[in-house]
Amino acid sequence: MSSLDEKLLVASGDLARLERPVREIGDVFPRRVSADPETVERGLAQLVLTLVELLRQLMERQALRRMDEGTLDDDEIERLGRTFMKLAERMDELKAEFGLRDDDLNLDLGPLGKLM
Amino acid sequence: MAAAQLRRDVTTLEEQVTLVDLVDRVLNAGVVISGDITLSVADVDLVYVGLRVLLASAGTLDRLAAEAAAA
Amino acid sequence: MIHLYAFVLGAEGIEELVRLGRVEAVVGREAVDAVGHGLAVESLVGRCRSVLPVRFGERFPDEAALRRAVEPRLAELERRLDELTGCVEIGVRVAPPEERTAVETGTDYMRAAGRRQADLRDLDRRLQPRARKSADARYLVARTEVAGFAAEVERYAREHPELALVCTGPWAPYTFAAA
Repeated sequence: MSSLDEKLLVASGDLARLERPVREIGDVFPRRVSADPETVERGLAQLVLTLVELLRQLMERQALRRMDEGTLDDDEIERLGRTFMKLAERMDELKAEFGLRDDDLNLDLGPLGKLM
Repeated sequence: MAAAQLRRDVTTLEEQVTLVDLVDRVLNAGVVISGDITLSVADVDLVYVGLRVLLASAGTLDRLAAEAAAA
Repeated sequence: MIHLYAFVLGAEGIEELVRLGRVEAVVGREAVDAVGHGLAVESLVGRCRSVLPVRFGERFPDEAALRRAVEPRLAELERRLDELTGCVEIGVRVAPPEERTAVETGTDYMRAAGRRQADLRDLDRRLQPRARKSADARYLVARTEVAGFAAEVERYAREHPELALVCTGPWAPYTFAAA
């Protein structure tokens, strides 16, 4: 019943510049687990990276709001920026380690539900 | 209220973009009754009450990331 | 456990309600994830005169606890619900033109991210007259004005093909819930 398709009013240009490229909302994680340990590991890495990317985007937005409001001092801005930079670098490293391309990242919101 | 169903075959970037906008609002906006919980990034407090339920997974994410790095 | 979705006025055909006078709290007794919460709140917009979304994660052991927590805020909630009647939220996000500037310091990183906001100033000027309120590239718009608002954003996008731009909505007025 996803009504999300109706929520896009205007989309223009290369949207990949707004988000990391295409993700799939795939099966809830447990159904991906197979007997092959490599597959499991890779699946876990995909999940971790996708969630971390989502959180990074949301936290960056929060930090930008604070920056606009003027409630962050210069030192805090520098530290936040460095942390987000490091996080992005680390994600690139992890993706390389697992041979994942941006295309391979699944956005799986299963854990958001599991935690309830 | 019955739980809403999310169609789990969303594949396009457009739908991805919309989903981020939805989740951003759900976690980061709206009326707060129970008070705010602070999440720190680099020792800077970012108020993020919605992540209260995600924080339980932060330990799991750390463990999984560590396993991935060690692989 | 009671999960709190939103406060509403003029609810039509919604089963799980806690009545607090004019204001009604829309609740659920099943576990729901963040996306489920969001979709459920969006489904209220067409069915109620006014919707005040609650942030994800608000839970109470029972109805009595919910009432105790909400009672002191009831007058304020009612005021906001009246203000938000017939209004929805629209958001705009823009990525800058491709630039290959080396970002070295944390401050540069944040500034580059902040520059994306600057591109919105032009668009913001054109959208302000069509909105009741705005905050951070999010606009409170009368439901009847959504099409005209979107058309203005579309015009801007066509004039600036170098920008990556998305406009999403109509959402329940999350950003204006705490005005």
